[in-house]
Amino acid sequence: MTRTAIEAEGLDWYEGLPASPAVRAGKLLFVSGQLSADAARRPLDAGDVRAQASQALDRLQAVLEAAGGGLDDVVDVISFHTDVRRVREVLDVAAGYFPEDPPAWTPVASTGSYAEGLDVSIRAIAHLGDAPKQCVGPEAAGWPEGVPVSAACRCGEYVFVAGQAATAATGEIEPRGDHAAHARSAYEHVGRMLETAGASMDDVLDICSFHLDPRGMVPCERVHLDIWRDTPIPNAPAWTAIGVPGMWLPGALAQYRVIADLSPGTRIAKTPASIHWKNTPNSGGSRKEGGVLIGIAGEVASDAEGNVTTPGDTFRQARYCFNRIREVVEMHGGSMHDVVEITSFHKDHRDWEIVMEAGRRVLRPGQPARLDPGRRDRPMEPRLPARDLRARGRGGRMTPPSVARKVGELVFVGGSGPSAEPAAAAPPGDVRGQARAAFDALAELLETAGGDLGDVIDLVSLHADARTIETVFEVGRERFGGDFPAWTPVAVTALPAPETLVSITAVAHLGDGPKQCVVPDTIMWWHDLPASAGCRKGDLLFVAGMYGSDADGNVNTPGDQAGQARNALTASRRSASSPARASTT
Amino acid sequence: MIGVTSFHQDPRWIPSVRAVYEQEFFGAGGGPAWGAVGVPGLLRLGMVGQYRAVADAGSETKLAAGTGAPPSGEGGDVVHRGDPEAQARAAFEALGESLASAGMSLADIVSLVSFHIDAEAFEAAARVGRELLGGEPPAWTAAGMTGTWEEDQQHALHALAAR
Repeated sequence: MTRTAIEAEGLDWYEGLPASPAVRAGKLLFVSGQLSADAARRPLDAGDVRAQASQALDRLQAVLEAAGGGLDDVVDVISFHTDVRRVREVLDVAAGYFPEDPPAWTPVASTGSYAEGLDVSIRAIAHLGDAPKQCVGPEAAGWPEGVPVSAACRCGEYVFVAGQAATAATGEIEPRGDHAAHARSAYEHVGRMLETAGASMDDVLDICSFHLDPRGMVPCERVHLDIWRDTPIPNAPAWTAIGVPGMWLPGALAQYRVIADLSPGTRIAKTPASIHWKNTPNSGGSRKEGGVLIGIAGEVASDAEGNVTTPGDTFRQARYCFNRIREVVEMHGGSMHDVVEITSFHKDHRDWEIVMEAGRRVLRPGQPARLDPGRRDRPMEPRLPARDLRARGRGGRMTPPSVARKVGELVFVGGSGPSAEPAAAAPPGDVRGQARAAFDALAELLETAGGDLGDVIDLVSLHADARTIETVFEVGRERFGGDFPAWTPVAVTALPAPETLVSITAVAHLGDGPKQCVVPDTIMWWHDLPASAGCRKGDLLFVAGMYGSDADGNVNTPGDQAGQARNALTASRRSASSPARASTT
Repeated sequence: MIGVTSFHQDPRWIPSVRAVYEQEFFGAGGGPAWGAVGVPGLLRLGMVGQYRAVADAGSETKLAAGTGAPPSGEGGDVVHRGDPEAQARAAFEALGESLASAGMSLADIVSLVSFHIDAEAFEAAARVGRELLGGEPPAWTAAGMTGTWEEDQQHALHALAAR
């Protein structure tokens, strides 16, 4: 079968990557995740998810047209969103692109793509053959009407079922809070969709399930084993389970998306001995006897017994995964050159470059279409009205969206409360501007309480994206000048208002005593941060979030949670008891 | 030390950290108030955990740290699975108990950082918090997390109380 990598104008950003905008194999066209970026891979339209959706869909259209097709041919979409509260906006934009017979569409949350500020990524499969496209409407799955989403699409021998959830006939997710029940219900919906499309569970090649908490996969695995208990292992489908931080249907804990192939013959499963789930009804990769498409399970860096290989070493883990893919394809009689699409999921965005480098060594020119989403964000409902929790208290005063409390000489300042609206001064998509606005609000509150930024001894900054920490640090460095507070920066899955990129909470001590800022010698690299490891005033001491690191900032005991905990807690102790690197305010 | 907050790149790792925390540093039950949450990212690639602490060496203003999450009921399951409002109430009750051991109550909270699984959990926590925290609300910062001690716990509350 011929396999052609598709190039298209305006998609220069693929240059140098082990990925193509799209790959055509037979009648199917696999389009990699399209997003809003320029030729230098810089994000466009930061903070404007509608504009980003338009850009992504324009690029999708350009790729389809370069391959001789169009948007009408799209049968399957998975879209990744940094904030599921904004899925509906993306679908509203998409409605203009898919006026009828929309694709089977699975929107899921992600922690982001290769660069910060990319809020939506859309990957697609199109069928370029002559067969008619048959769509099952969203109402069949209990989903909202008026969105350009089919519950399933059949074209020729292929059936694509969009991510099914535990939706009742009323449209509500039921029952609440039960992962296993959601998996069972999703499978029932999948079965119904396949039947409507003239297929059955025997035709399923590939299952991809998304779960709200990785721990939720455990009960879902039991359901999987039960559903497929009568399927001989040599005939099992391939299953990939991914933990994501959000679902577009509020209350859903799991979503199951399926590809089925009606080609003749039985389903053939191939699972190398190196894959630890080889003795379960879940293959390394499956295809129909008379078919050409192989569904390959999500390969992970674990050995034949299920132990994680090379913990903390992204490059080797990526190479290991690629080699498992190679093994599976070779067992089916193919080679890496036959791989037409890869979707890779990473624990940390900063793994992206490393995985790309591993991919360059393994994949040849004419690369598969590929997408690299992170994981992120719990479901946040768009319909929830923002409510004002702000109130004026005795000890302090509040400036939206923060609130402050003063007790004795201590002032406690909050960031965005649980129902906060974004601060008016916070420009969308501009983390530096938002950080400045947050520090302005903090300074104003402290001034009202009779103090200033120099009195801050503890600060926790919560970031929508870990990659923005450095930018906020730069703003903090300007504002504090020196004598930095104990500062703990951490990325979170969501902040109360979708537009908010950073939220700051702080404690200040207004007493006259000296402010003592400490960085123990064992973590000298902290001197480059606008943060003390420990900050003391009076009898109160705050220790910033410590990591498992050496004096130069290299991570200790890579991949070892307990080892890093031991190292970090030891650093906490040192920071709490070190002689002060003193300064007075 | 009166309180420790730890952030973890994957909530499934929290049990392995508990062993280090309790066996090598603070002992079981008697140490500082400890809250652990899963988050999607830390300062540098490769860092899998982060530990923040508050210490009070006898300051004039009495300070206490407390944490709260929905507890497990009889049979070991987390109470009120899938019900964010009932879980918020249970989390605030647990926080109240945590502070009571330091002679404080919910009314003494001056700073609250709350972590939640989803939007329903945010809003439910806001409703319950308005009711239980009294007329003078604390400085309250809310954020999303990937999980806390156990699957099914939708809230993790970390508070400082002062008198």
